[in-house]
Amino acid sequence: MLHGLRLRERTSDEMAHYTLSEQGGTLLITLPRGANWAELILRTAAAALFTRILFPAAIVSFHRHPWHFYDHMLMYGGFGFALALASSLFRWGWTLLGKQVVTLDGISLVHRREILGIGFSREYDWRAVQDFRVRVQTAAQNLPGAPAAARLFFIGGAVMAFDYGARTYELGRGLDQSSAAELVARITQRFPSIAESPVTV
Amino acid sequence: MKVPIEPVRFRIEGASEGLRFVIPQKWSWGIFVGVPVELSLFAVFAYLLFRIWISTVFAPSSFAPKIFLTLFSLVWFIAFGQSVFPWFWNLGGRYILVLNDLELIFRRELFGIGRTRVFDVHAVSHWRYVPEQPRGKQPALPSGFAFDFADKEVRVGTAMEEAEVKQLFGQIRRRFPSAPWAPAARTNV
Repeated sequence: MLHGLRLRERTSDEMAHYTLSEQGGTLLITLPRGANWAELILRTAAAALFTRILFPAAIVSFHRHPWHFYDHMLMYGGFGFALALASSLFRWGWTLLGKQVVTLDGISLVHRREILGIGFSREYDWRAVQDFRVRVQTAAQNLPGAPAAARLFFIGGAVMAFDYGARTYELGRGLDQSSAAELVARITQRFPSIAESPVTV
Repeated sequence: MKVPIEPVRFRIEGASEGLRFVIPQKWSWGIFVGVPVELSLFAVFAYLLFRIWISTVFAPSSFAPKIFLTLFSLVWFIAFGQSVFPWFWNLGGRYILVLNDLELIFRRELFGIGRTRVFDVHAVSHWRYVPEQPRGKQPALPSGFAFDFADKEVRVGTAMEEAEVKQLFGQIRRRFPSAPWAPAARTNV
């Protein structure tokens, strides 16, 4: 009998934070939501703290001195922090209930983000999607303490990128490099045309 | 929502000196609207502060308001000076890149006035896309392209995205297919 903490190593399939399926020639990929827990908790705590303190203070002082300049400033500040709190709530909603789906069918590439079925889709014309690839995101090396900040906020993953006209779009923030590479390999194997470079000599 | 396909920002112009690219500055509504609004708000806020100050703290004959006004004007003109160039650059700034068998000419100009740099094209190599580079508290260097000139890097921050840079490189390769200094077919990013 072996005592102590037992950690079961996960296979690469178990570690891949995405799902890929094919239905009638359409490739359906569910991507991770890119949860950034440290940033989320810090932002929420800051917004809650300031909203809790400043917003009621602004209301009270506004009623006492309706036309005082500084009270108005505080009031608008309070509204600002309330907006920050709403933004935090949205981020929590996205992290816990959000869904990011990419659909490729040879006619269009559709990227949909939704929370509980409500969301928006971006549809890219297939003929203009070119050079589908992995793009590694690295933290800025010239900022003091950047690697430490990168570790804290989980910056430095990889995304899938593609050229579309004069712009380059990215998909799948939150993927790690090996998952992104594997996903790109699978997609380009199924649809080789989108891996082609836009300019050929 | 269908995502529109944006055309490239640069255009190729026929020129006797070689292949000439004209790359207008990327338009920013933020700069166009934000800078005048920021300067106006700053002026109004300082004026109100000034009025409150002279009416509550100092006697009308005091020199202090004059000193304040002078200092404020100084700060405002520094802010104005720092903002006015980016505002005009946003309006009419452009980059010009000319390539021929002998030299690479790079010019930044605003309403016809600018600075031109001429490079021996045979010492140019390793064309590449460069992403936006944050610099701490200073404004980030915009994305664009870069090349090596002998032992130094020349960075051209035109705020172009990777896709557009590739198309620019493709045009150079098409015009100079056998030139050793031309961008490689596949550039690292």
